[in-house]
Amino acid sequence: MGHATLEWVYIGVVVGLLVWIGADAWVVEKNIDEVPKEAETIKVIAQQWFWTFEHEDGTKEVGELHLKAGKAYRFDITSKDVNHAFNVPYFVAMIDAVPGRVNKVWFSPDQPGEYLIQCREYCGLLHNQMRAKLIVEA
Amino acid sequence: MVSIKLYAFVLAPLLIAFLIPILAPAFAQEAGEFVNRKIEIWGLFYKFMTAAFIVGAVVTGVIVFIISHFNEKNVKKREVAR
Repeated sequence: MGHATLEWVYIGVVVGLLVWIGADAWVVEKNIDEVPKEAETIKVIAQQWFWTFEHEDGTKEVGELHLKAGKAYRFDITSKDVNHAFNVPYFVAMIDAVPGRVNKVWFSPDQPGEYLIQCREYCGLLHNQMRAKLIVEA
Repeated sequence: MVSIKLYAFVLAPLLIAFLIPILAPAFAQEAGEFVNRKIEIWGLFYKFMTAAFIVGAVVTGVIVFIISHFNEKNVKKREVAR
């Protein structure tokens, strides 16, 4: 067995893996982007240095968000001043909050409990304090 | 006549395709009403790491093999080295 055969094996393994990973990443991204029809929309407004949440029925919450476990929620995220980023680390959800633009992200909290919502884009002096509490009820 | 290179090129991806279903249960998520982002994203990360380590192992293995096999001090392969 010479160099060339080895190189072909090497190329074959790498190409096979890249195709597999590429196809799978595409499928995962498609699955994640697709918002379920029954998802409830929650408007999220970011501003220095707090979060405001508005439910479909018009109820507003500041610094706290109450959701129900097992339901799907779509978050329409925007900002009133500078760039922020809406991040719920436990549910692996993160997207920028940009003034004049509405970005969306969705997830379905599966377990009741209290989780952190944190700004992940440096937005000024109190950026590190720009947190909210996500309360998932059973 | 089909060369051994072509066989290697075709067989290697087939080997990968054969191994994927064996590894698949490790990546699978339980059936639920909605897609669980956490499982999907961390599952993908796990697959990326698996791919990265396999590529690393293949590249390292090939380098070590070539170095030892075609080394000038390897008496059997001295002709090749020249």
